[in-house]
Amino acid sequence: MRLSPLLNLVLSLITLTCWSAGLSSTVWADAELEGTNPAQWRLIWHDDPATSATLSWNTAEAGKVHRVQLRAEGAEEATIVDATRNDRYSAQSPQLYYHHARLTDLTPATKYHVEIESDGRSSPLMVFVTAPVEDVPISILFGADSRSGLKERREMNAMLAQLVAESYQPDKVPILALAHGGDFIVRGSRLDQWSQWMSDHELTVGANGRLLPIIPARGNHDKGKLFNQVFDFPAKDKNYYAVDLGPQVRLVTLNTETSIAGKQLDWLKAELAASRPKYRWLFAQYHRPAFPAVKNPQTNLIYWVPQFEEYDVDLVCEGDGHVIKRTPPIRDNRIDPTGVVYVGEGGLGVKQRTPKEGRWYLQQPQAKLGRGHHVQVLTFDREKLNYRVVLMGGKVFDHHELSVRLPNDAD
Amino acid sequence: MTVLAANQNSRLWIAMIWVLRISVALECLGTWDWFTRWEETPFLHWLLDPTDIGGLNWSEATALAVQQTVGWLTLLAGLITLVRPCVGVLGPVALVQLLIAVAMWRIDDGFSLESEWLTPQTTALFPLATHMARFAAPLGLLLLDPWRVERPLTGRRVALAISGLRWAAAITFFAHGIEAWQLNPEFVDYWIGASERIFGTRMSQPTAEWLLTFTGGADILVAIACVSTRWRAVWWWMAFWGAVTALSRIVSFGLDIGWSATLIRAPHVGVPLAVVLYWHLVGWIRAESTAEPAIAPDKDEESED
Repeated sequence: MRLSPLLNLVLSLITLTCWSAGLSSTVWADAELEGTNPAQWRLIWHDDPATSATLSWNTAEAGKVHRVQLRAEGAEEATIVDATRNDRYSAQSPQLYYHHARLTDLTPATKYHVEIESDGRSSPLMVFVTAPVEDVPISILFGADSRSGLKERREMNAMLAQLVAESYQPDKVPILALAHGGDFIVRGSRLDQWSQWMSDHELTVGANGRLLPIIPARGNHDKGKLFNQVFDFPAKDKNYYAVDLGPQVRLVTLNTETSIAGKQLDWLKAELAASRPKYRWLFAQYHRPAFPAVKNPQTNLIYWVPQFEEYDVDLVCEGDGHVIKRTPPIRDNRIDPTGVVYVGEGGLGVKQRTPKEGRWYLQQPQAKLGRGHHVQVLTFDREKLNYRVVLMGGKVFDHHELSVRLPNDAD
Repeated sequence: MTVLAANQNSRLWIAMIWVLRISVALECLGTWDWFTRWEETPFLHWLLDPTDIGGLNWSEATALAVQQTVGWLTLLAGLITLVRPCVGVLGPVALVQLLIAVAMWRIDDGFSLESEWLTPQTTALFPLATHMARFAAPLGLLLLDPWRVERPLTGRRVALAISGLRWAAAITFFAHGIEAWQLNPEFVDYWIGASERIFGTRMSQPTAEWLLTFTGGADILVAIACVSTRWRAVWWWMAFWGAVTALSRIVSFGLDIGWSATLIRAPHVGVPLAVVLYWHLVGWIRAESTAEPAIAPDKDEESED
């Protein structure tokens, strides 16, 4: 579509205004989906983000040659990594093709410059940083429920980019990634909605082209085959997995949309038993809450919560309720200082609800409840897990600290 | 007077009517608890969600107030159903159940499967099929037992009601069978939870999936059989299996959470039970008419066979 000169001028002025207002990440958003022009990029972390990542993008036409130019900071030459998984999304419309380039053998805690290329058409130059293997403080964002409220979703994405940019200032703890607790879109089988989400996700790319890696959990609205195609999971994958965010921080992602009491429970028990002795910080994310602030409890209350308590999981992040929630520590269905704290409930754009304050685990002042578009910032160091809830606009709504549970040999 | 009309005071007829009345009343009781105590329903989310994603974009306070009102009115309707089933009571009950299914369709909340062969449009419409017995029960009762309508009922009216209930049960079982056959993860967990609670041993997921494939296939076959044959055993099985699957909610979630989910599914038991009682009545009439050739079923009754 050709734009009139006047419209072009107006758009240019808007872009310039956004740039000067510090919202320069908008420059990176909404790359044109036309021909083989690379667009809708996202960096995905699945297992070991110190040495691997998947860089994914879409094109409107199939194309032939899809690759990434990858250069470590300070290196003179770039390496070429071909996208090894290229196909059309399984939905009938719109016509859209995904490309996944699996980046492996990366160096930990290293800045990489990347440029996506599809049939000679290139993306802007972007950067990402791999996770550390040194025991240094790190931060991660947790958010969920970006399925509706598209304007707010875009504003939240721009804010995430700003938070990330600020975290790379001297004396700050860098934000490594976004753990998304699910409900990306309304109807998981609708590619047009995924396409919009992926375009909006470009807004999380910072002014300097910094990609925000994503660690996705499946929500109840994300059903269907497209989820695995968007995030480079194998076609039949059930989407429960664990990621090392550093040598002492492990994130367990669970899936409330597949069997909770079956193989996933077996896997969870084995995972927690193996991880708890090795990691100072062990936390989990999933979509539908065991201790909901609005909705009704799921069977994960019966099957997962006893595991969290047995293995002293430090923090559990939940989505789905569309409010802000932090419970007191819970063990054996009562408040217990040695228990597990449940936070989250989702505010990456979706219309907010009112929390049900009368529930026993939501009684103030031990609990903290609220409403408003938000993201959780979790910062892990050797002594504390620092938890903040940042509202749209930057105001901190909640601040809480958890201490290390167990003495760790690494200390 | 037709033979069927002459038997509308028989025990089988009365039992059929009371099965339907009690099913609808229990369904209303479960809906009341769901709407007023648990609150989080597809109906509420439909009222709340923005219009661009299928909702009505009402404020939370308004949506909750409407749902609370509907919940209490449904309870009242359920109680009245036990004594005076009429259009003004059963019509709204059917409408509420229909609206729950419509809400699930609108907000895409009814089918959690990744089907290779069902289109998204088809799966989105699934709640209308899985809930069919729930809104057919009050409508069937309205035709069979209307308060202040002159008795006896015409054979045509009875035939319409029984056909409606028959097809509603068939569609409900067929849709649930498809979900089970496609290994709905919630159903997998029902099996695992049930084995743990009842037998004290945890069933493996592959075993639960095998059982689910088997029972899903059985549901589909039964659904086909109940509209193509007159085997009463099929209907007794449907009533029994409807009870088992409804009670699985209590077994899985416990009584406090599960009882309303179980009661909402009372028509899954009541509808097939009512139909099988009707078949027994027709069989009994036929046997009587064979013994006394002067009395024979009229055309409408025969067509129902």
